[in-house]
Amino acid sequence: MNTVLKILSEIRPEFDFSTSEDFIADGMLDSLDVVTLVSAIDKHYRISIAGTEIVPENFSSTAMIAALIHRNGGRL
Amino acid sequence: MPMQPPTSIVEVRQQIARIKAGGTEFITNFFLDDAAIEQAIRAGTLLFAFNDDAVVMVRRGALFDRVYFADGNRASLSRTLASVPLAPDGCLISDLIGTAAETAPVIDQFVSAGFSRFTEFRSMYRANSCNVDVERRAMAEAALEEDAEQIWSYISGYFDPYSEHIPDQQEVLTAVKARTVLVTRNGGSVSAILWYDRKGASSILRYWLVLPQFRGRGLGKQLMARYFNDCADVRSFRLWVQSSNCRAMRLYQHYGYVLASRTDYILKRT
Repeated sequence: MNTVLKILSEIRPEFDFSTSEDFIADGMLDSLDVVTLVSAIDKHYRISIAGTEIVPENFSSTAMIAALIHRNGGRL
Repeated sequence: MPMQPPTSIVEVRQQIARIKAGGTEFITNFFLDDAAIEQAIRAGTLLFAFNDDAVVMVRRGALFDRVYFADGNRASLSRTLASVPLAPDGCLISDLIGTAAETAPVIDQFVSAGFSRFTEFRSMYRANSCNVDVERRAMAEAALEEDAEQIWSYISGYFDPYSEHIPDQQEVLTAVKARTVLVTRNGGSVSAILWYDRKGASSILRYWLVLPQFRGRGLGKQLMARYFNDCADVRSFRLWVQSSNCRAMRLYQHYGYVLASRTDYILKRT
């Protein structure tokens, strides 16, 4: 989970992601950030997140992102 | 490669998902939301072409056609881009956001397909916790509906139509009604404009313009002060500034913005 937070903070350094329960609703991640995040997660966890899973709700919290990584074969 | 209109938003998303699944270095600049895609499909202004490795989409516009792409491994992006037809007297515009290292190989593909670098914008952000003194008594005010036409006229007259996403009049009116367009006045006329968008705890500054004859009077400062006051609960402020506009960059830094690593490269084919 710390790795996910580290990746998020590299994409949007101005935010403290540990204080939000919904990154999308809070305006902390936009669609561009999501694509950047997918690329970073793919590289870091050596997985390929399915294109059909690139929807905002899968990136709304660290728990949702962790579940997404797990579904796509990544080990946290 | 013939371009064709997609039958549905699902078809567009499925093609992009297919490209991502088949490649190891997925990259895209297709960030339209579903409502915008549906609107373009209904209007018949969205066309796309695809092969095994890349999808290229074109959104027809009055002044230029905007090119989007999704690419899996750079194997054939250049060829796919080169197949996009150019309208008579028209041009193609595309943009690519990322760090210089991330975007360089893709920009090379665009250049091979006949595009040239048109301009570029740097991303800046400002955390609300930064300690920058702004005036508390701002003279700026929210624009009125009757200002909308004048605001549109100034924005379309002073900003570059190829790279700055000029809004249509309806979009201006919507923003004015949302009270996210701030103005200062000289008599009955608008003398300076600041337009921002807001989502949750984040805000993006879209346009900040002081008409030339009113510069040097602190109007821009008043707008910025009002902006920060109106968005006191916002945690992150963002904007894009033209890389060559060092004066603007210094001004934003004065207000606490710092440069981010991202650059938006605007590419053009005529």
